[in-house]
Amino acid sequence: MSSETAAAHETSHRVPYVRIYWILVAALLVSLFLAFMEHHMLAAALIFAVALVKAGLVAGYYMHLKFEPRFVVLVVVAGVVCLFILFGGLLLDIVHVYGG
Amino acid sequence: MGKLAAHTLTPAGAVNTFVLLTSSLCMVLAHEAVSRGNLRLASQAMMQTIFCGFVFMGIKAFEYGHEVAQGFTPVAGLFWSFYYAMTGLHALHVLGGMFAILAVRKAVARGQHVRRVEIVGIYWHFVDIVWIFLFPLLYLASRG
Repeated sequence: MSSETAAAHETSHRVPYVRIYWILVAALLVSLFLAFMEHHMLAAALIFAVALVKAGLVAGYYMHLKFEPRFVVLVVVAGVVCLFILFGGLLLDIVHVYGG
Repeated sequence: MGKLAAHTLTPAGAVNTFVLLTSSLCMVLAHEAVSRGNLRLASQAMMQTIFCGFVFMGIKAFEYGHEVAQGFTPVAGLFWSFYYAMTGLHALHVLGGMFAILAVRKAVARGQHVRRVEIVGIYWHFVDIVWIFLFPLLYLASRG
């Protein structure tokens, strides 16, 4: 085993990747179902909540964030906060132009 | 905005979400295979990831063609400018990721730079996460 393979082995964890995948697919189906709800504001809120869960699963298990030191998690959280500031700013602009 | 967003092809977006989730699974399985020293399996899983990337780009191209044919061009309004900018930039990142995975796969097939599978995998999963938010934003949440 080369030193690089050994290093790769160190970051490996016993994670049920396939089970996580099926949860992600189920969450996608839930999002599609929610899109046809009559209460549009509630539907949008729930759809983004499901998206947050999906992103959390991918970041936590597929990107191994769940197994990284706390400061690495903080760096990622800072990026996510900036993303929401960007989305919020754009949303305000769109609501201003189209009147909601 | 809601009426404009209703013109995006939700089934195509949903299939593309499924394709990207599948590609993420393939990529993480490639990383796991490398961790176990199975470079052949890792190489196969990376090829499957690249294949998923091709499928994603093909569906996206079909969507663009359909939307432009209906008159929804990038200059058709604020929503469509935002739609094409966000999905176009995302597609460029998918394309870049496909080239990166291909380069890493070639090295891994020779038994070199196996650590890069994890690095390129993290990039690919990030591209997946961006789509996880773009899909509800552009296809689902504003259909009303």
